[in-house]
Amino acid sequence: MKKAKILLIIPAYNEEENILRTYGKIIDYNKKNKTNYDVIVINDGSTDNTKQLLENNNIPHISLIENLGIGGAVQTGYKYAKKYGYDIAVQFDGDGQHDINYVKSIIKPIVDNKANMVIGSRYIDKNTSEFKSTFSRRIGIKLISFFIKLFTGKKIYDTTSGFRACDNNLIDYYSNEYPLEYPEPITTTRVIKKGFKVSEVGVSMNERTAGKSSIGSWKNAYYMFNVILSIITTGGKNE
Amino acid sequence: MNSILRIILLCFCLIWIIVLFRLIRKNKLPVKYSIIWFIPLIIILLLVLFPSLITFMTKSLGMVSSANMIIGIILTLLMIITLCLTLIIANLKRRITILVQEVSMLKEKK
Repeated sequence: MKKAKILLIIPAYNEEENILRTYGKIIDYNKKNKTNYDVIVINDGSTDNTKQLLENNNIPHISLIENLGIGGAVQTGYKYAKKYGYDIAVQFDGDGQHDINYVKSIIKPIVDNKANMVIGSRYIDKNTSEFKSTFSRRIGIKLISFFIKLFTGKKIYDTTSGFRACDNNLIDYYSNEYPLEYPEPITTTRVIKKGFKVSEVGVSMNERTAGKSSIGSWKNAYYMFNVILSIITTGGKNE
Repeated sequence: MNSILRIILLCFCLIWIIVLFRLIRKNKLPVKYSIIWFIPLIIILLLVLFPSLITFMTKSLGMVSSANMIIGIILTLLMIITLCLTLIIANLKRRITILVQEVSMLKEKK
């Protein structure tokens, strides 16, 4: 089999403190392991110096002319992946939460043709799950997990993980259709419903080193309501 | 339905229709979107011109006053109009997203 073309999609909104370090780690990893992960940073209309940093350091990037939110930014990455014929796209956070060393294990099921999408899961493997999140957040993730199981019949443990890889079928699908808000749980439900194979691989994630998560704690109830409603209504979209 | 209420409603509809016509003529309201308003207005107009419709509906729903019935109907029409607007906004948002993505990709330096 020919070597798969792999793209890391890094959405970045006001990540001037993290983006250089994240990119540097990927480049180091590529050198050490003789891998060839391409990177595209999607600058989601940042209001800080993210754009200048990307330009000055020659980091491959697309700067959105308006802020679109995480869904619109990630979808741009998928469109880019489709345009340049990538075989595998990996969503990777710009804030240092995700560990480049796990990319290999995340893409393995896709390379082996065992899955269309792989989710890097914090909860599947006790050893790797040193990631501490708040109690309410864990409850929320469990609840979403319950609803996905209820409506698709498949158990997904880490429903909100943004560390995911998908094959060219899903790159195609996502570049046409990707939810603007709360994309992770919604797309997971949709692609399972559509008959794609989704699997989970245990990863550990770091605490955020700087910057703010896109999910604020006060928004949790609102977030949950939206996500659960989307999962329930996805049932009708089975073509 | 008493005649004062009928006259008020009739005036209301006529003024509304005149406003819509003016907006259309000034190119401020596309004809396509004016339909959202004309259909409810025509429904209200029909009810005013044929009050027996209202009386019939009020009786069959067991309501006391036909004024309540009219409020109920107008409220329902308003909810439909709002839903139409929400759909239009959602569609616009989708298109803007595509535009921003495509333009930004074009501006990408190679």
